[in-house]
Amino acid sequence: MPESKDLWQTLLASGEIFATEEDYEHGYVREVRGDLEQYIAFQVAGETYGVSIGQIAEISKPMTTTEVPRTADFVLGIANVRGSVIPVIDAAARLGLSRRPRTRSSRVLIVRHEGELHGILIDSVVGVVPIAPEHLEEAPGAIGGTRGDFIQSLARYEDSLLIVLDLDVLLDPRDFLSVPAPVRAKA
Amino acid sequence: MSQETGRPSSEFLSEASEVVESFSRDLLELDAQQRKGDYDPDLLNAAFRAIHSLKGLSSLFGAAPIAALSHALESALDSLRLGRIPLSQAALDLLFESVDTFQRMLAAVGAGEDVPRADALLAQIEALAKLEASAAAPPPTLAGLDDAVLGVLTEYEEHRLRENLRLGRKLYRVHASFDLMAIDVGIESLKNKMKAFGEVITYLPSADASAEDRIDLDILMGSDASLEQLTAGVGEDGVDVAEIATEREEARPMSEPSAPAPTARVATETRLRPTAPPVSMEDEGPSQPELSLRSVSQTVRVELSRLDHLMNLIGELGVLQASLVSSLEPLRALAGTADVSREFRVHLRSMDRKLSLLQQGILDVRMVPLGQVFDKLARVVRKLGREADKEVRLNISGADTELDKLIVEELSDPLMHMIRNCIDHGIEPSQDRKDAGKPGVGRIDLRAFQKGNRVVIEVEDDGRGMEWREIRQTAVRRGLVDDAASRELGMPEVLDFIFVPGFTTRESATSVSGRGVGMDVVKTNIARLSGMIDIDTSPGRGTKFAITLPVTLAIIQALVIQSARRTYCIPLNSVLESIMVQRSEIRTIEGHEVISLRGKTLPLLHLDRIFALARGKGERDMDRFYVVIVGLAQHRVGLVVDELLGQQDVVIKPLGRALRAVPGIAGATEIAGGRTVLLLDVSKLVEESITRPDKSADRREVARA
Repeated sequence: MPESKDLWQTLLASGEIFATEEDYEHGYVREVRGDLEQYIAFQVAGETYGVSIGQIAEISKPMTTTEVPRTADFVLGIANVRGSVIPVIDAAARLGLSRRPRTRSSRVLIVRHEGELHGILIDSVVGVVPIAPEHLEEAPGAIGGTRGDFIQSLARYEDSLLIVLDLDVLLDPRDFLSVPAPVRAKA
Repeated sequence: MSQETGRPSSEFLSEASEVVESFSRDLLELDAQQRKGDYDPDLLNAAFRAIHSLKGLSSLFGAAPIAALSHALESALDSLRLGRIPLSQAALDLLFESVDTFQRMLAAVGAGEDVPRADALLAQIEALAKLEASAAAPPPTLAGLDDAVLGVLTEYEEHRLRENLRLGRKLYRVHASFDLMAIDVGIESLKNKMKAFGEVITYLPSADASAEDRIDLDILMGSDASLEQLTAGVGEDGVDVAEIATEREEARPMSEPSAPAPTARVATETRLRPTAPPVSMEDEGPSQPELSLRSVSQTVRVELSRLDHLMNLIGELGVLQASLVSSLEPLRALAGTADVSREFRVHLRSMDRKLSLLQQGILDVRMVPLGQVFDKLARVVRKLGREADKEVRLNISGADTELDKLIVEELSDPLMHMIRNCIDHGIEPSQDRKDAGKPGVGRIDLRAFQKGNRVVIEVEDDGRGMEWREIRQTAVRRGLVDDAASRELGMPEVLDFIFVPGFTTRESATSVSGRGVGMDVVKTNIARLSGMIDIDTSPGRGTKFAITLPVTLAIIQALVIQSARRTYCIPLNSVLESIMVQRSEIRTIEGHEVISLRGKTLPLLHLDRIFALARGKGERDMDRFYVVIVGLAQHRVGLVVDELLGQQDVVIKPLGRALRAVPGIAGATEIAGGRTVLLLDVSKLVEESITRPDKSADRREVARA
């Protein structure tokens, strides 16, 4: 449904809280709660992850990146987004999961972290998920193939799990540089 | 959002630092004049006013420590300008120290930290203000002045009258009558004429106006000129000059405060009847009959980030324009479009011109005079000279040379290091200088001038210079080079050693410098600004450092190159030349690939190897390739690349926090076709090639190739 993806963008950009398909399924009128936090849920290598909607500046189709030497494997390079140069990383590689080929549903989440934009390539966007505080759990350690320190918390929604990512760790600049001076195999 | 909370602080900061800067300039001028013996009292007034407004600004902003310090300073300056305390070097020291303290405080405000208190300095300044008359010379009395006049004079005016007498000047009363309608113009022109003869002390309104539409003024002034000279100089219609007859003993030299005070008595003059109510008047006095609410200054302050934003937009416009040009090509091929496409081309060309004007305009806005830094350095010279007990005179020229604001900011630390070195290592103690047949006072020249599209800044001292053979020995002793190899090094190579971290020929460190930190930092900072530094020294005669810098960093000319199918830009100002080299010309010395260029050995650096760029099949064996010779801060290296794609003006964009630390990459930029490419950090690459001790990996690569 490529059309609905563009609708997502428009709605997200407007910053409005809007009804999701689930809302309609549940009969639209439901208890209005002020303390629900909205998360963007997305898929990376078959797992579902989430990032708070407040941290997302934009969701875009994958753009051309320029590779940057001497950076870690997960750094795809830099891209020009509306005049600023931003780093773009591959979420699967960053999380230590197996990379999947890009498809039509691949997206780049453009997140604002410590005042600067960063791009994160993901497999697909699932949707916006409102989560109540009582459904959030502190990170219990590693989950599946995901290292524990990337996980900020776990959220239960509709019988499945959303792994909320800790952007402080995910986008730690210290990890962006490659190990100094790659040593060549001896001849 | 964050801008709104940040705004008051940034506005306070820029205003307050302007005030502090102007205060500091006044002090420097005062200091120079005071050394010559006499100083312009208006400078003290200006300093007083500056601190007064700083007090107001800072209490409004809520920076209590700044307000407290300026309050104390204000009282001290008031006492100084009223002559209650003498303007000594010690007093000036305190004033200069307060400039530094203010700047530290403002820096804290800028960083959002707590403003440090300056209790020690505060106490010293308060103590200074309390010295009061006890230290000051007993002033000459104005016993002769009419009580009615004395009654309306402010303390400051009285002090200036006495001061003029003490300096052996005569006092004059200039009576002037002005048309009410033209009084502002009239006073202004009279004041200017009078100022050429001496000091205008006060304006007293005179009661005996001859007509309703006129105003009469009595102006008191002090001057060295005789009555005839003054009359000839300022006399005009409605103005007459009378000497205030003073019965005084001969003028005394300033240095004899213990001599009896001369009594100055104004002979009774019937015309002096100040019946007007005793209003206190500032020196501007009645020259402002109408106040305008318009501000005098026609300038706006702009944050650099906003200019950066504009610059980015212009860069994008340039890219857009380039794509318009390329989309014109297919249009021309179409039949029957010749006229349209010609018109199109004309418009494009004019758009191109306008764009470059726009670009130049914004660059000009970013330009600030180097004087901003030079003023600070003058203060450093004064302070360090006093600390090191050496007499040093700083000659500044080219303070109006302009550079990009960012560069000027980055320059102040390197320049300060260099000036420190001059004072500590360069300039000899006064006695040594005299023994060597040089003047006792050391000289440091700070020169700036534009040379093509570069700016050159020279720091030259007439001190002892550097003995390069000694430096060579030290380098051998420190194991930087072995004895045999060192013999082949000439002066330029040897002087490079002073840029090695920790290098010093001094046995012991002083508080000022000589700890071996400094020149390496200077080199790194200059190189970061794409600048070069050259040294010229001659033992016994002095040393000259010359820094060559680009005028701006925001837009630079770049050489676009390709290596392993990747495109990169190299700042053109670090490129010396580009040549084509055959593989057979390469030699290997101790694992380093080199070529010979005009008799000199040039080390090579393969971009694809240092960046570990993967090559496609069939690309590996090339018989000839391009070598871009880059030079920065005294080092020359040949960068091996596959293709030269041409030159282009590029707007540099920062890589952001995540990638800023990537060594060898200085930023990114957009080139025609909308591609984002990386800009190489040449100085970093050159530095790596020098410091990397083991090149064996590369050597193996060569052996295999």
